[in-house]
Amino acid sequence: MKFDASKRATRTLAVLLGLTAATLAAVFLLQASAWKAGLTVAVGFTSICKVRLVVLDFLGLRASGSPLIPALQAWAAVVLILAAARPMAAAFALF
Amino acid sequence: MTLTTTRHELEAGSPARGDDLLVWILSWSELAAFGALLSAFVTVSWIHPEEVAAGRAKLHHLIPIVNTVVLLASGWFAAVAACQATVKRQRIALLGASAGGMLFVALKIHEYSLEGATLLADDTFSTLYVLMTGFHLAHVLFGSLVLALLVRYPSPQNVHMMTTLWHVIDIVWLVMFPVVYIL
Repeated sequence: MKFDASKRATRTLAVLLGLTAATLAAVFLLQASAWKAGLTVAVGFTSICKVRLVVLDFLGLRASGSPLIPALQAWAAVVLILAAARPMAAAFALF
Repeated sequence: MTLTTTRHELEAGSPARGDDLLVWILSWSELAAFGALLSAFVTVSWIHPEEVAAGRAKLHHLIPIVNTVVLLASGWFAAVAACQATVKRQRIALLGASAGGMLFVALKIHEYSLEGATLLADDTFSTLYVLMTGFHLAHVLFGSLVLALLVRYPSPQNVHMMTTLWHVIDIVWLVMFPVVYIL
């Protein structure tokens, strides 16, 4: 079972690196365009996905059903939503 | 513990539930501290958007991406170390995790020098940026040193505690990176 955890961590690393590359691509493609709101949502979403993967497979909580899983994701989500609120509001001309 | 220690011997010394409580109290105190710093940074970006945009434009953008990759790889080494069958493999994985942390520290210090970042800057963005990323950097440096120590003393309790904290430091960076550099 522990060896499965090792293989799962390796697969997760590959996905995390892919998500990092996707974030980099999104920043370069969307930063100067009118898609600022899309960039904000994409970056926030991929960051939450990365946190979830680290929690599940690096911390090894996937099979535990632990309340730490939603708690850690909620911590990341609250900070990212706070940070994304202003660019989103600006994108929809609320300021 | 010798290099020929088996998987059964490692599992016999698996950390008890009581250890988890201490680890998570430590982890949540870290998350609370970083949450407060990140909230302060976000609040400043709401109050002084032009100043934050100008400060952000001066930041290096490639090094933090490389550092994200380095920290993820280091986290992978730590995850692998926590589930290795033999102490020899566990030590190699711990060494990899520690080396990743040290590389992160070196790259971040290089980034500071390129940006001319200092705590003594007179603008709010620079002060908060250095305070926040520097506090995280101090955690990475300390964690790397402890992981290097664990190469010599890899008891299951120590490995479990330190790798858990290492992943929490990783999570903090995954949130800090977009907040500081992108959003």
